[in-house]
Amino acid sequence: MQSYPEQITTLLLRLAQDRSKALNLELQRLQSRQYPSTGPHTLIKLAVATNEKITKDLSVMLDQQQKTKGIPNLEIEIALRAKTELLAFLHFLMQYVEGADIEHTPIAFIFPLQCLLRKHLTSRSKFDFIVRSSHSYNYKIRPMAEGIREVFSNAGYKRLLYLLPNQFLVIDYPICERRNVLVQCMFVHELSHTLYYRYNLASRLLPNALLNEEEVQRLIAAYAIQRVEVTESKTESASAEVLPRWIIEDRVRVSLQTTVEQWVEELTADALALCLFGPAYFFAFAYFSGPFASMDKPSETHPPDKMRIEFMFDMLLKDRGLGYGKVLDDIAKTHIELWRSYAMQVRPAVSSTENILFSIVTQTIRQLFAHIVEQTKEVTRGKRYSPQAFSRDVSTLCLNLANAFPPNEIIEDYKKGNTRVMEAESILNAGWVYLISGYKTFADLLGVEDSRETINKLYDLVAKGLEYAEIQRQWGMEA
Amino acid sequence: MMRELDFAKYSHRLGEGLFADKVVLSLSQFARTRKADKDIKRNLGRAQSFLQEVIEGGRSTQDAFRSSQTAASARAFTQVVEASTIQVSSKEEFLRYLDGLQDTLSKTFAGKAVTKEELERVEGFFSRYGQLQFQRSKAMLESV
Repeated sequence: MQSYPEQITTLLLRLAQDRSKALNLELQRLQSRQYPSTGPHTLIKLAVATNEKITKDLSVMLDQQQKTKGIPNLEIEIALRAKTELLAFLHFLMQYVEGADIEHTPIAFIFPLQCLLRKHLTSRSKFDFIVRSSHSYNYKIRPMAEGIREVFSNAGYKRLLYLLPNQFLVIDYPICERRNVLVQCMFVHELSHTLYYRYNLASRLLPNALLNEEEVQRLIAAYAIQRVEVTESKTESASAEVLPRWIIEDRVRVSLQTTVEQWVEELTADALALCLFGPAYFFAFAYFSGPFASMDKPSETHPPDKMRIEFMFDMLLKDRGLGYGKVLDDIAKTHIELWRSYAMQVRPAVSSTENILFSIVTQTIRQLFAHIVEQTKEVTRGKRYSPQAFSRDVSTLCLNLANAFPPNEIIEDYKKGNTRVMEAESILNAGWVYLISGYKTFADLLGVEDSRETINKLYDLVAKGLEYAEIQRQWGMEA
Repeated sequence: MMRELDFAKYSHRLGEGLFADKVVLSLSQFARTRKADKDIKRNLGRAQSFLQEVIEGGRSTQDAFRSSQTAASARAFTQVVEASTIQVSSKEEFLRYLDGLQDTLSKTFAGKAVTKEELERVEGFFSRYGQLQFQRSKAMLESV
């Protein structure tokens, strides 16, 4: 007859086994779906293997229960918690597979994305990714490998990590933009976050950041008066407890440092996206963020969108930038300048401790603009999309679009039939330039009055261009 | 816009909770048997490195931009302060308390005599730290 604590332990172990079996059924369901990239299967495979191992370990724990007699409950509790927390974590991970199936993915963009990732991420390291649709109106990239490794290692399941590639990304896009291939240029910003770490840009940029100490002291004093905690997130409610000044000072400094770090990372990802995709990224960003009133509003993780537009304008068109001023046509240039003038209309912020913090961060960040441009140019040397390529390809591809031909190639020699298959960067830049400057001609050509339909037809044509170019490359059809 | 769960933060908190559990488990095993096998040594070694990082973070919050490691240490220090329940009047006093915990771990490694109370103090520290991390990872899941 088992004693009371032994009965409880047996019950807990059996309940954990039940969870593991339930998860197994869910994993089988997810496994049976079709996905356009290998990423979802990689994650499911890892979850299946881990779940099987946990089931086995729980059985062993049940069998050995007699031997564990005399060991304090705390030790059994901890050993069991490692397994149940990991089970819950696996369950949680599977949400990243939802929305990644073939029906929900912008397939035209998967190949260019794969090429981009291969070009910039891999050398010796294995990588994989998931692109999934989301109902959050946002583009987002999550580097998953490090977090998964941390949880698995600390739960005692490090051995199964051989199933996880060195780099594993989950990229979200808003489902309503599925057909809009041009706005998918936002993916490049997301990819650039990964490059930020790969090129170790934080260590190149952050040592140049200097906080205004006088302002920092003013902020600490303001927080001390308020006697509120600087919380990490809105979910953790601020409490009104009285804190010693050294704790307030410490938290304010960490909060400032974290905000500076995150803003630098965001602006650097913008700069890298411009280096890799040229003006197409700027157009996509303005299209995506412009309609929202929050363009003035900073957050702990992101600088205000208006600051980002101002920064990108300088990088695209000004001296020491990327040099697109010389190759963009007047209509495209005017379009960019229009966004810039809008960005310069900054509304005064309400006076609050939070806004003092953002103002200190803004001062610090502005000193880093030139460093960001310089460093991103340096790390992308030889891999950048250039104004020369833009100038060589874009106007010709716009002619393709004007004739309702997909912009997948440029015919160099009609007599010999020599063609040059286009890179995704040129195709997307041509799509944007044509959308901005040639939209009316296109509407006339189609004879369609509904502007939404015209724009969707243009997106489809650009998507076809990306797809055909990829097929031509895979079949070696380049001249 | 929907709230997004920050995966990196969530997995880090969960990982930290599991790490603290491992330390507590090792300390409990060591207190019971007074023997340190390979696993116990590895876990206590990680506990020592963790405390070292936290102490460095507490000493360098003024110039945390020097490297990303320094910034991470500064954040680790802040989290440890939040998890601790001891009453101290200054940062220096808190750092001395952390030094004391590290000293206990060093003595354990060196095979020197360690009292039950000293071990319980280290265990209590990691237990509270782990609980806070588990609570926070759970709160993150519940908030989305």
